[in-house]
Amino acid sequence: MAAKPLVSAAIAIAALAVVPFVASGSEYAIEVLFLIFLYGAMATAWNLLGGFAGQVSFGHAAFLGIGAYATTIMTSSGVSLWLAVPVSALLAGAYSLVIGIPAFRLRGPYFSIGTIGIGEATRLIALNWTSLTGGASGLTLASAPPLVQQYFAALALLVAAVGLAAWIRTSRFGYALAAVRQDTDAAETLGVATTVAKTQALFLSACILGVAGSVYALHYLFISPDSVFGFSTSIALVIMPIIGGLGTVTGPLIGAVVYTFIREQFAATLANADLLAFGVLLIAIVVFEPRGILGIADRIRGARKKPARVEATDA
Amino acid sequence: MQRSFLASVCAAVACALIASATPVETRADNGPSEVVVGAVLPLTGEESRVGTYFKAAYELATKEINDHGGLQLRQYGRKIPVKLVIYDDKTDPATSRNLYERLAVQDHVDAMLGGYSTDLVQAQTVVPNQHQIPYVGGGGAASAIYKRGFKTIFSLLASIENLAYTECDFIEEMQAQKKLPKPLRMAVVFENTPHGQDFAKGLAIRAKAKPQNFQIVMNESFDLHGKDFTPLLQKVKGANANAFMSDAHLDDYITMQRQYAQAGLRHAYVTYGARGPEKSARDALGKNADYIVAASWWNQLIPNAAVKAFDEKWAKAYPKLNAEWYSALPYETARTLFIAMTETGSVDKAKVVETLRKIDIRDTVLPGGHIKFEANGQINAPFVVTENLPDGKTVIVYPHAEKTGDAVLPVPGT
Amino acid sequence: MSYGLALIYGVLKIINLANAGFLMLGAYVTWWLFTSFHVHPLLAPLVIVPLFFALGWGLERTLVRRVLHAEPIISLLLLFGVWLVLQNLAYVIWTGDTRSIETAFVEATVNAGGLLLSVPRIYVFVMGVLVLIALQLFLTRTYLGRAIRATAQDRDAARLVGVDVDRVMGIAFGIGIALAGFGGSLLSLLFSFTPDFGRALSLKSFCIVVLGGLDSIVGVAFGAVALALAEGFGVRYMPASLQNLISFVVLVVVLVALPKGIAGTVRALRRGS
Repeated sequence: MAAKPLVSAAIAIAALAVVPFVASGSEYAIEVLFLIFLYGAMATAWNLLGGFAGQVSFGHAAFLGIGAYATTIMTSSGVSLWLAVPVSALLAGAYSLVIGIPAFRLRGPYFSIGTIGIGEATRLIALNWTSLTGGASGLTLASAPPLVQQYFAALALLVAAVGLAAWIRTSRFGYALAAVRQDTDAAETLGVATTVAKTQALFLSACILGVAGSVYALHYLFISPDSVFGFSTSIALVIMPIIGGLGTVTGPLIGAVVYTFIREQFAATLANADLLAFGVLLIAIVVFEPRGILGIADRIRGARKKPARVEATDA
Repeated sequence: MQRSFLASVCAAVACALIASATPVETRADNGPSEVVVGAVLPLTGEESRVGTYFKAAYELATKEINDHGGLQLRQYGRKIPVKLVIYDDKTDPATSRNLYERLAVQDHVDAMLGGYSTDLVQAQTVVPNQHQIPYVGGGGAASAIYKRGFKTIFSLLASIENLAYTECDFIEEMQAQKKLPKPLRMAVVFENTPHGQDFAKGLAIRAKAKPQNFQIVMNESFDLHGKDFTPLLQKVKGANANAFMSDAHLDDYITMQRQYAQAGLRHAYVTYGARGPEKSARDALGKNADYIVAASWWNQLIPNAAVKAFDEKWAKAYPKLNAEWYSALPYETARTLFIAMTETGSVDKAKVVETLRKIDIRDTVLPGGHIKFEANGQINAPFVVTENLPDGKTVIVYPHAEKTGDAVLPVPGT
Repeated sequence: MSYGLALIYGVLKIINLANAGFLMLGAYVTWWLFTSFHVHPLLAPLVIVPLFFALGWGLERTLVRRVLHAEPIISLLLLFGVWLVLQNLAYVIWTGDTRSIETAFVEATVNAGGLLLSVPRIYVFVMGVLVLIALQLFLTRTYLGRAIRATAQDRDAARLVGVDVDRVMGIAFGIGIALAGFGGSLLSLLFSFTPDFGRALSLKSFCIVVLGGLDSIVGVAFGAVALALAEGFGVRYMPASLQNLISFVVLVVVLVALPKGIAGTVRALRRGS
């Protein structure tokens, strides 16, 4: 059973790796896939803390932003990408440790509200620390690696993130996180070091987001406090895993596909219709199927299996 | 679980390939069927007042060309109509950048016209630079935009630093006429963007050079598109200044001036940089907009024949829209692009950029009388200083070539 | 607005992120009534309060009820979704252009011994105090009010005593939303607004509610005053643009150090726990 997912994943990756060479005429297709990979990685990272550990954070854009700004500032000063990206990831991770200390003293909904505050505070700091970040006007990069290279970088990041999530899911660490999600106090009494587990999950998700931020900056060539630290970015990170399936391995990726698709459709047309659609989707999912698309898929599969089971018991 | 992963990946690839099936123009040797020019403007959001004017101006210029059959391009030996594609960026820099990318990658534009407002222009210009597409703008004035070494970006808006110097020149003249105190104690508040920073920098440089004329007693920035400036204005009150020098965009100007009046503030000299005489502001502020001084890139009252002709043309096409600088500048911007393409004789992007670098257009409504770009892509044109007089009147007070009346300074009652 | 949050939290034990949306909606409805029907903004609340009460009550019955028994995070997400819908619906209907209400009242100022005070601000302040008094009286003197407080303290015990808990929850939610809408209507007199209006204010109001203690209306009032003072002082010593940062810092500090808020801590201290 364990081989099956690996095989189909390998096939999928191989297929995706070939796309840029097959569809070389269509820059747009490559770009859309790139975005899906990037958002998929970001959503998967968020899910480590939000889905696996059950700590819903509305401020995760902070780590994306740190990665983006750190890489932009470093490469503009001549630092090589190979050094800048890991350093940015570690900076994001370090920041997560710092804010984790006060943040994890809060539980459940309080934690979530606290993260809104942290996300906004980080944005305001970036906005006002003009000498470092350029303030409201943001920073621009003069050049970028070719789109194909970015494509593979994003694909690699996605594979790494999903792979990490899959590995965590069935590891002791993953079970600890699940215990925290179910009932933090009970987990404590059972001997799970809950705060340590939460901090580890936060650190990992922050690092991945830090790398994603670097890729983001290199793609868009323009970052500003509103675009990377903004609340709408944090919202996106929350919406994707919920739509796809909170706490699952591939749910965030599915959510990312839906998100990218809807956004691209509405990009040039009706103002904000995409966020409106997401809001409606969010309500629908929360009310009817909190497990998201994967949950719906499970239900359908369950419904299809039912007739067979009934026959078996009859016989 | 693994099945859905595979399924989602296949779905993604399929979607992307289908969505990307946009037919690419096949060009025969006698040229494209139309010249595609794109722009992304703030049609909704905080800058929508000005954004909608830009759209109207671009459309007017395009219509004029198309009414004559299109652009006469030598290389193809015929006139080719212009297709104008405009998107709304909702006054968000990231959206603006993404939509310019869309213009480049999906709509395959031959050239780009600029958007409006420094932050949006700062963000969006990375795209024409990356794709090496000629971009002519009339909406981003901060010098930081042009210091990045981008080679295909051109602007008809002179820099804000020059704006500050022009106002200072005018103030010195007023001080010589004993209409303003010497030194002038200025409380400077500026928006936290390169636009505002240029303004503050210009004033600081002049104050350092001529301390007997100018003293800066307060110097603070504020966030763009703010809603509440009262704490800031309280600080201004305590600064004991006799001049209030603000640099803000249109909607912040309206909000701030309203709160300025509510707080009971008075100064001998009040300016909002480039903002002041706009009709929408005067309508919103009523008598609270009186006596405000502004330095602008253009004004409909400039007493020369070309400007008068433009005023008439604009009034005829858009009777409901006043002729502001954001009517004339984008119009001239589009005209400049079209002239450049005609002179080049083709839509070859690199050649059009070359033409723009060397162009020198003499028949224009801009003050200074000609359109010519410096090495960094920005124009070096003079400003006109206006003052709002009661009953909705406006008068151009400086420089002498464009003057229509005398300034009423200091503000009565101070 | 913060009263509404406190009320909803107290009774339903859920944190209403959609309050910001209703605040913004209150401002827009006031504007719409003003520009389309020439209703004076001071009269708008007469329409808004009942309308929003009905909206809140309806929302509770249809959506919120379903998620009351799930993890608290689910209701948080639900209301977050509602807020997203409200905000973007506003963008679609009214676009992102800045709107403001301009009448003589809005511009009026009055001279009080050398201090120039803005009339709308005085009005809003007075209204705030009146609402506080009215709410406190309602909660302590009327049957319904006491039923609400009982439900907030212990839902099952209230049921045992004969309180119709379902009805109470619907009413509490309705009142909360109506307060938000009223708040929005008042604020439209002071500021110009876009659909993004609620967000910064919503965070401040969370801050206030947490400062004051999520269970006490009077505590909320203290929280509001405390925050206003903190911001006022802060502005003297740091750039005005960092003003919003103050409330967030306070929020985080209070959440960590005083999880029960000021009133809660005071109460706990009094009980000697």
